[in-house]
Amino acid sequence: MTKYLVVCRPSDQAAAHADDTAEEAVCNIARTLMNLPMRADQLMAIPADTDLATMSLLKDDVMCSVDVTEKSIETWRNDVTNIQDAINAFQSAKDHAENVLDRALADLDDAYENSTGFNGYTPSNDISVYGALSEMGADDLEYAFQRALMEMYKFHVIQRERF
Amino acid sequence: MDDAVSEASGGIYQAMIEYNNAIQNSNKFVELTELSIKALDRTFEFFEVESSYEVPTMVEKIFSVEIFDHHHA
Repeated sequence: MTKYLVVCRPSDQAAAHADDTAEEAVCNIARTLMNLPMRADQLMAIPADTDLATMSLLKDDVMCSVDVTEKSIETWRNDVTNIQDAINAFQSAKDHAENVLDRALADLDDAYENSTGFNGYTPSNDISVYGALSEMGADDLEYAFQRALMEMYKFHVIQRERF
Repeated sequence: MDDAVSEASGGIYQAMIEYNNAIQNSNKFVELTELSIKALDRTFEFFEVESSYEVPTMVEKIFSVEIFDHHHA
């Protein structure tokens, strides 16, 4: 297992890590787990047992640490993208379902309200679209997946405020 | 409401199956909780039942409907 420290790429280090290297994967992992609003190639991964890593720690430049093995990098490339895409697709489908059901429920409220015999009843008082869909446990997907990734890559935030 | 349930459920079932497949096909994440198709069934059933539940009750009240249970031998 190799430990890397991740820093913002200094301006004098123009070249990003080459594709398909451990460093490139580490930068992608760090960006994802820190939810950083920057591209992965704006980051730099430094092996933790180097002088540069020590210097970066002393200068308080290190954002996070990530541990990887060949296997865990393979997992990142093969599985993580698939699962993240599936979570995003599910969240979109859930958002769409909530919108459609919410609109239908509003129409149902109107239909009851505008009727002569049923206008004392408001269905939305008894039906919560958002509550019902949340009970499926779908809200926890993203969080549970992030927790699993943090554990797998022994991810630790070292310095967040400046980034 | 029934139409809305049909439209909403189609997309969400498909996305749920794809998520569960992605979890099952992964090497390291199989311990993540799969989404329950049964829970989704219950959720959409709830919308269908609750949205129309009040109508027969009110109709019974308006027309003073009495329901007799017939038990045939």
